[in-house]
Amino acid sequence: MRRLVRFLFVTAGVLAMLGLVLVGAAYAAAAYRGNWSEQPDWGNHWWYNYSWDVLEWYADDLWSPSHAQSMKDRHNNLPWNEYRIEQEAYNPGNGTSCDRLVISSYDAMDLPVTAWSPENGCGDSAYKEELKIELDENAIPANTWLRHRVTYNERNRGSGGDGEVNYSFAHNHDSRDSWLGKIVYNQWFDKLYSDPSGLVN
Amino acid sequence: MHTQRRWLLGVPLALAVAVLALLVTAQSAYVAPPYLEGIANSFRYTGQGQRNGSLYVNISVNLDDPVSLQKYIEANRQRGRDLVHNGRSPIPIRVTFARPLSLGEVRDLVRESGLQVSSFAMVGHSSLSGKRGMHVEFSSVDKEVPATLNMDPTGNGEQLVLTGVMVLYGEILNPQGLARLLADERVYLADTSEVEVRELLAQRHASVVAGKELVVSVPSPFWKLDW
Repeated sequence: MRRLVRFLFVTAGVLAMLGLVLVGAAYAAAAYRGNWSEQPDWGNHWWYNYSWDVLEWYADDLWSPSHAQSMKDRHNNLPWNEYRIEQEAYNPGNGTSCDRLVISSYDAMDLPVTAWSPENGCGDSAYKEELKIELDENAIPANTWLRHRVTYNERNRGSGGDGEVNYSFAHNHDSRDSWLGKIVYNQWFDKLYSDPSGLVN
Repeated sequence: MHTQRRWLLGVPLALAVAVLALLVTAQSAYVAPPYLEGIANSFRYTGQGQRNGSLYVNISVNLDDPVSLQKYIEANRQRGRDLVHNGRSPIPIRVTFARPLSLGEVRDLVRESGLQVSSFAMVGHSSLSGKRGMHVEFSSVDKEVPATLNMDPTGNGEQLVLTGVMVLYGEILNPQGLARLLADERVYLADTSEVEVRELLAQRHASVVAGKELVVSVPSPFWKLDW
């Protein structure tokens, strides 16, 4: 009997560890940069670069209860902030990595939004690298991974050196944003690294 | 005693110099980008200067408050009728449907109303969890969209099963096309607030908006609707 109990304990322990490893592999999340109390706390991104000049950038965001509540409080009361995600397929600080990734479509799973605006970030105004995604603040649940994906057409593959994409959180009453992180890629659009590290799979 | 007096004089002087230096350096290091805000009859708005020189204008409505939402819808109905009456065009518009429509239905409506679509949103549900999802194409409605889309970067096989079109962004070239949309019971909201906010910006904030490209973000209540 004792042997059976020990066997069950050991088996349960091994299965639990295996489960944690698998979950960890699926969600190699990183704490976002930035220090706004309303921003998503955690991010988990995927970067799929296809040989037919298409790139998919997935972003899963998670708000802690306190951050989700803070966002709702400042949306529902003065100053009635309207929050948005800014998915910038360029370097907004230096105005570089322009005209390389052009938005083609947007998808979301469980991320409630109210509006979307593709914009030219830098370079040729015909190419839209930046997507502003306005959030439906009160519909955003805490402690839930909310997924969205932007699909891009790649331009000038094999030339232009390394580039980067940036991910920010902003609202309509502040000229600054909260920079959450970035992904750096090479001239073939293969990902090199992220900041914070561990953000991208 | 002599030393103490020197201290008493020196401390405020040093503080004043420090504050002055701080003000001078802060001003030279940070030049605030253009910003504006205001209130219209049925919405609030803000405008923020962007790095590329454009102005991002956000229209804000309390979509969670039924009274505010109804007021906004009514204001759009009235403005729509006025625009038809005045014969004004082109008219920037966001159309929210009361329920998801098939691409075929939407193509017919777009053709009948002369709406030039720049992007459209389809909605659907997860094949695994039933969670809500959406897909936006930045093109006309002529584009073919698959019935299901892979939403799975992790290997669990999740698909977004699309049920229909809920939102259109575009421009009406013929005011009679707007009349057609306003009369269609499938249209929940034919939103022309961009027309009003552009007029308000030109009247109230002329010096800020002069020569700038305006990117206007208009909220859609589609996520609140039953689909």
